Amino acid sequence: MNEAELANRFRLGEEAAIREVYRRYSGPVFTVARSLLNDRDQAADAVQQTFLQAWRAAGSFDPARPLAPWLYAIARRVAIDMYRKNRRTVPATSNEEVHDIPVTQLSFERSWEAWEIRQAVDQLPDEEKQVVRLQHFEGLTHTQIADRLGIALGTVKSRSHRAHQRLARDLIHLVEVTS
Amino acid sequence: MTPEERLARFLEAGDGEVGADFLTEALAAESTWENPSPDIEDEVVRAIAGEAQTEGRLAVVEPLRSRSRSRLRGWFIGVAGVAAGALLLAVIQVGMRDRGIRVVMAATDLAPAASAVAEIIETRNGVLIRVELSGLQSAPDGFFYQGWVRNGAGEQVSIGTFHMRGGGGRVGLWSGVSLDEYDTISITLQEERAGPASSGQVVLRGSLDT
Repeated sequence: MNEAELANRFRLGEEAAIREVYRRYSGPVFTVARSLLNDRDQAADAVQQTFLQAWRAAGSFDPARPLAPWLYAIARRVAIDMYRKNRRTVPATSNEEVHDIPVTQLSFERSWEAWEIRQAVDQLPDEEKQVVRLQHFEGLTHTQIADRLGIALGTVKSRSHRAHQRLARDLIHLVEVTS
Repeated sequence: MTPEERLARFLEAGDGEVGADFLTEALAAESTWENPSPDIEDEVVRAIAGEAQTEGRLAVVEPLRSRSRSRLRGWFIGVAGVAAGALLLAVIQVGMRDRGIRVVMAATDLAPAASAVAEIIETRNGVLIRVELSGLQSAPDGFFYQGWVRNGAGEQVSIGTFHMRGGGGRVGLWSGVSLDEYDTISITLQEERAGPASSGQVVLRGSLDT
């Protein structure tokens, strides 16, 4: 199903389309919310609110336009509104320790970059995504990754090479790299 | 080496100065790899379905005509008692099938247990609207059901009548007008000898908007 068809069916409230939109974009939505709200539970609430608000606003959405920037704008607004609401509900005088949820000062551009990076990662084949995760998030070397996964070092290297080529292709527009 | 190749080498091995430290920082961030719990997807679907029903109720309820209201009230109360508070219109266009457009029709609070799917089929001699009904009680003596299509200006065209006394199932309705200019399909409960106009007692409704 292409994006325009998916957007149209989402707008009409088809369950299959709602699930497909969720599966394509819940990762980036969560990344943006998690980046803005340093709280996993709040970020999960923001994910739910984002898709509900998107559906409410879908009547005015032009299916010919891409879904991602539209959902991103909703996700960012939801996260910021949630942060502000939480701040307002913190009691002025309380003897209990209050754990306020700090919102990070990510600019619109930076949080959009976070969205795009997440999208690029989510589009990697699973075996390549696994290697990239172990390398960047867990900080493992190729040799350690091979040991962890029980596969040949050469396989790790080839997966890593392909994965980073895909990431570079999908994210090159975010950086200014000269030949 | 192309810019993409330079960026790929930087991302993979940290080679070169390409001003993309923010990319490697993002790849090392927990937020890039975390996912919401799997049950959130079902919660989203449930929330949207619930809201669709609520919105439908607000959009669909039509004023009852005072002439027949009291006579019908007892019958409606019996039907509506099962679902107090009302399950109402969720107008969901479910898309094209190979034989025609299918439209989910949702119940109003006058017949909350009812549901229907209308399949609209263009034929050489008119538009056949094949309605698969369930949960709609047979019309009481002296009453019948009538199908309508309606446009944004409130103009309605009858597409046929039926009574459901045979136990329910499928009914075939016909429209002699193109449905392109009409945005709603509805079924009303009509009283015999009350004239040709719609009673306004809508029991099912769906959207023809595509």
